[in-house]
Amino acid sequence: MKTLISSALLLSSLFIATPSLACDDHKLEVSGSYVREMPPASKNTAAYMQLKNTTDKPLKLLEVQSDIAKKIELHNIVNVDGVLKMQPQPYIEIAANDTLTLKPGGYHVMIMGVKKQLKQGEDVKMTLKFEGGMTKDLTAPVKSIVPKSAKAGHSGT
Amino acid sequence: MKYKSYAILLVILILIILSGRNPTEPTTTNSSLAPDKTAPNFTLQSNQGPVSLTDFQGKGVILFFGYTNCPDVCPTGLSTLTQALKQLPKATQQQLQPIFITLDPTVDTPSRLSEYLQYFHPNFIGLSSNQHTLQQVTQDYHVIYKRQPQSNSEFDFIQHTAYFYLISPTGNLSQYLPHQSSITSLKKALSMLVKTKQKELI
Ligand SMILES: [Cu+2]
Repeated sequence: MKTLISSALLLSSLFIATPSLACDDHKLEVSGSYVREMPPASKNTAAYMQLKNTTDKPLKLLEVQSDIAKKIELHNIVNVDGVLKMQPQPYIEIAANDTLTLKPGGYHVMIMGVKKQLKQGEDVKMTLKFEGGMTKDLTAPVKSIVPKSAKAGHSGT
Repeated sequence: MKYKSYAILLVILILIILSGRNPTEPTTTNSSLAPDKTAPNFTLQSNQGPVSLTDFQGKGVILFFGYTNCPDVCPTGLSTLTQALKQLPKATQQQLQPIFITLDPTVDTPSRLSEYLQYFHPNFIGLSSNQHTLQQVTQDYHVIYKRQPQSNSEFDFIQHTAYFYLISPTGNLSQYLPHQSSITSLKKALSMLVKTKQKELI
């Protein structure tokens, strides 16, 4: 009887432990994420978002995974004597209790060799992987950066 | 003694590197690109045949160099330009001609460019040519660019300078703005550009 209870306890603790390890929502908050809609003829795009680290230790984003593209990398754009260079980053660090914004012209999630042209209104599922094994699942809307009058904007009504 | 000669060598090396550095802005080294001088002419291919800069005398021209696979810089710049244009009065818009010249001619055919640019604005013209001709044009406009090879060549990128070159209705290079310019400052510059028409004709 005693072993049965303890094994039941062990089992339930396993169940509780697993999800909190996979998705530490309280450690990192993602907001404003989107994937840029792709103009026809292009096969690359990028994802942008705000990453808020609510812990008092720096967090390192190591990788982003999604099955929409052949290859996904973390990049930064640096201006070297007026020439804009994309630099692959081994990781993107979010300082303790700080927010990092991934935006055009700066840090971004580079999505290369997209299998199907992404259109506004669609969603892209991706998983962010952090140092220490923490992961974060995310659904980012595809957004156009070109204003289409009266079409799907928020100024419509 | 040995260290001293190393130090001298190092200084010489640094000087060589510095002298070869590219200017931050496209005008600084070549007087032919200075504002108020005639913008260098070119003849390149659009999907509707050859196009020269001189075809647009009487209009303000916005020149932009880039490539369709550009993942961030070009779409951002083109989006800003589109929004600036759309916010201008119709009459002003009709006096402006945006032109995009590719830095990746092997991929960007005139028809591909046209398809890509239509997404942003129906008035955009996309131009391509052979490597040799484009080399000349980019040199004339002091565009610095370089293929940035990736581990898989399918994903090569091109590093490049990104400016809007504003050419007046009389064909003078009026000014150039960084691609990260705000919609507001671009809008202001564009309406100024068209206004120079009256001034220059008086
Ligand atoms: Cu990138």
